[in-house]
Amino acid sequence: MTDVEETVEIQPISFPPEVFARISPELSLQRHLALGLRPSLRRFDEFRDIEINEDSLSRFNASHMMNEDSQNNILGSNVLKCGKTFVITSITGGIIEDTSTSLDEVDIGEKELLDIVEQEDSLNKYTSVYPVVEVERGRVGACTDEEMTVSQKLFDSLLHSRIIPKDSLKVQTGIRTTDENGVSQIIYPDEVNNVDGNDVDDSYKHVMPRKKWSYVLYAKIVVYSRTGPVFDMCWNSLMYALQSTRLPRAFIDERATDLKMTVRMKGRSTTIREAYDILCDPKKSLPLTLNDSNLAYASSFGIIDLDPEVALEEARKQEDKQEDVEMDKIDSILLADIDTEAEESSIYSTISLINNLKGDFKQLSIIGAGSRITPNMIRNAITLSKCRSQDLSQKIKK
Amino acid sequence: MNVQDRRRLLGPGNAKPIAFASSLEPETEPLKAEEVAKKDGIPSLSIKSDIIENCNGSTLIESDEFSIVTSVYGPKSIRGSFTSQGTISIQLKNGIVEKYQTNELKEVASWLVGIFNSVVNLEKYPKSGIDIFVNLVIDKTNDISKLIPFIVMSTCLALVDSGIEMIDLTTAAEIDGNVISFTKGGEEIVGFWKDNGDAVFNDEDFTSILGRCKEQYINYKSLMVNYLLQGKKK
Amino acid sequence: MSNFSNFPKVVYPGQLICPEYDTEQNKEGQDIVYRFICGNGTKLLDYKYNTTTVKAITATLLGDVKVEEEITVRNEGGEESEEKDKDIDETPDIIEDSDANNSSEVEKFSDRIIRVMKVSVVQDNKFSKNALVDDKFANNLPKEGDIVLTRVTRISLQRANVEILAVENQNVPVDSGIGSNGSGIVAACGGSGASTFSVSQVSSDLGETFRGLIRSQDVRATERDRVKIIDSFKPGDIVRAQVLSLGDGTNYYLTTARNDLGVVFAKAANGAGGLMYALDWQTMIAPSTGISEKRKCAKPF
Repeated sequence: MTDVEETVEIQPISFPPEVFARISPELSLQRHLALGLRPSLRRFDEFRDIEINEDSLSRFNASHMMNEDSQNNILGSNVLKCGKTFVITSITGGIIEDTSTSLDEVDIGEKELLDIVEQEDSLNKYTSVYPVVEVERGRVGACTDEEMTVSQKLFDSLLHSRIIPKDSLKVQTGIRTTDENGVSQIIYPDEVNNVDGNDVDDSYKHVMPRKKWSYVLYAKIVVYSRTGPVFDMCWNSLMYALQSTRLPRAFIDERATDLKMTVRMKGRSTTIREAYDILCDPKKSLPLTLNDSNLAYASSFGIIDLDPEVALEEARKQEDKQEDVEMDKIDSILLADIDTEAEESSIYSTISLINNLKGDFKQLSIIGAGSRITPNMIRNAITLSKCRSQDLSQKIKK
Repeated sequence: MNVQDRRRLLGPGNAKPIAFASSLEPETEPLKAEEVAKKDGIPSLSIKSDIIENCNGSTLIESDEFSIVTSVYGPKSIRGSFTSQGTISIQLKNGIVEKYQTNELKEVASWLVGIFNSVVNLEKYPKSGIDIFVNLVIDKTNDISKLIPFIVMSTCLALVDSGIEMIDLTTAAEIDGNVISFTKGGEEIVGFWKDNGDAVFNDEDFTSILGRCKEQYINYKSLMVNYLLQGKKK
Repeated sequence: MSNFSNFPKVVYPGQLICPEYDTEQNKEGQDIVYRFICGNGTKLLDYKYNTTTVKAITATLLGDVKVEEEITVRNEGGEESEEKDKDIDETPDIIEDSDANNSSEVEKFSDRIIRVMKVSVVQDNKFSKNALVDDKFANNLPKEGDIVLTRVTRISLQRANVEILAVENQNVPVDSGIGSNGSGIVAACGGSGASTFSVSQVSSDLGETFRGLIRSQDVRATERDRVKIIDSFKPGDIVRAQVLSLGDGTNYYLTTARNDLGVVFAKAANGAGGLMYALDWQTMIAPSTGISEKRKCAKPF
């Protein structure tokens, strides 16, 4: 309501705050900031709280109704609520045959070479998920620029954060055998090992497929009720979802292994490779191993110059009275967690951070678009984002 | 997904989606029995309105079996020539599990447009369009006919929430795959959907189904009215 | 007034409110015939009651029922008409009093009095509570005569294209005081912030707002043929305008030919500079630079 009264002084045509924010978002924002508030009534360095509902949708979550659903192919999920926005992330998977020649087939010299290359290219040991971001905004058709850039940024950031090692996506195949009575049984060599304690592995080795498979993870991220930039929420939701992800155990049929033996004799040919029908166990799953120390959460900041011209008369008068030296000096301010139309449309300078609990960056981008970003602000942003990551990491029950 | 969409990150082309082996024990049997028991009754529903910020009206309806989010955008201006009354478009979307074919959803959506054309006061909205998005976020029923009554209900409540003028509240009822949508306290039928279930050949069977549907409709409607009036008191 | 108490207080879409006509006897034994007409959020529909069809007023919105008396006065010229709205929530006695005072305004047929009552549904409690805004655009599509707030998107020699951001709602609730302040057309920009607005929820950046155009001859009332659009509006200006007609498929036709209509917010140097303030009805000045620019301004007070 302050706007109504204040506007009267400058221009007697008065507008209620909502209308004012609509027709002149920038001015509305400046008026709010001059009062020391943001349109959302948050403090300058205050983040929105996040509520999460982890893993309520996935197949392997035994406590929930969804696990009965035979069509459910979700491996990990997260519902994140942030202010009025909510994000639903679901992780699904695919299986891809490793086409890179398996190591034991490579001769020693080549293997050495490969090792050297891989050491150089340590990023190669990590992989990412393929995210598809959808922001619900009441229209149909092609994806928007925002959806595309957020997806790409998620993909790249996840890869470079080195959170998912390629090894953890390797499929450890089992074999389904059917005995003479027609009862099928699935044997996973690693499980058998554990139970008996002796080296049963060998006995299965001859039936084990020589092919290697790995999982591919997809993330579908749907954002409802968008009120501001969404990248942070998508990233955080993806983080939570990945931590809850369980990979199904996969197996091939005994008959397929037989087939494979013949194939070896003839060498690999694409037509026969298709014959491997790798299936997933409807019940058994393994947790996805993540590089825990690299788990990181995102936060973002905006920087805006205060426009002394539009500061309210009253605020200025007060300033003069108190001779608040500090107020005069501050000409740009740091706002945490940008939200609402007014902030989004008038703030061009941003700092976006992804860092882990220790405060190590996984990603940092600073865009200075006109407003002055001081080293102090960057330092401030880093400190705040560290606190934010620590807070967010505690949301998930481990 | 066979055509490579370069605007989205779809992953390697030769990856196969995870296929689960069919479970050894049939799980569906015990469920069926339950369904029969509560066939005519109202499943316990939780209704919430005004949950989505960037649209004019929205409703979330949840039960043990499903969760439907409906959002109403508009009236928005339309392109093209002058129209004296509003047009409604309805989009149905699969939720996290891609359960239904697009053409199946389109069919339901166009059926729903017919229903809402007859209850929304379209004359009030010249040269504008009302866009309704229905998201079947969670769905365990595996049968869209069972969901339709709730899709109609949530759409209707979302329209009320958005403040779009409606001549009457409508909702639908489902018995044995027959979905009938009523208005005017059950006096008028605005839609009939039949996809599966036993065929009805004679009038008597149909009359009994109609009667049961009407009863269910009245139950659902009183539920909606209660919800609306309660929300109003707060 | 006893029969109004039978009306439902809170209604939902499709609920019956009242029949089209109703009768009552007042203290003097006169018959009063009430004719109910549809206000906002209601519709007259046919109902079958024991084989006869009755017209009845039905709610189309969720909200509170409001019944107002609508009195039309015909002056001798027969041109002007005056609308007075009275809130029925007032005690019956007051109504009776005002009735006596304005007895000439009520059409009389022998010993029968016909009173026209407008039944409308008021959404939410937003009106009666502190908020002045109905932010639901749904029921406030621009109509002829409505005042709208627009942003200029494009100008040419003949016209200015605008997008409509908000509609100044004319359905001003009685308690906001305008109804009692002025007769005739609701005093626009009543100076008290009493007028209500509605805001489109649709972000204007997405190009889905309603569009309008102001033709050069509709910019001002005088010297209409000498109007230069470039001296009246610039892209980005916020303009207060009145709807002339629904126009064609894409555009509403708007006018600013009134003192209280025109530019309300503008930035200097095509948006690069600071905010400008109106000096007179065709000049605006930026206080920081002192440079003035030409605009067709809305009366600044």
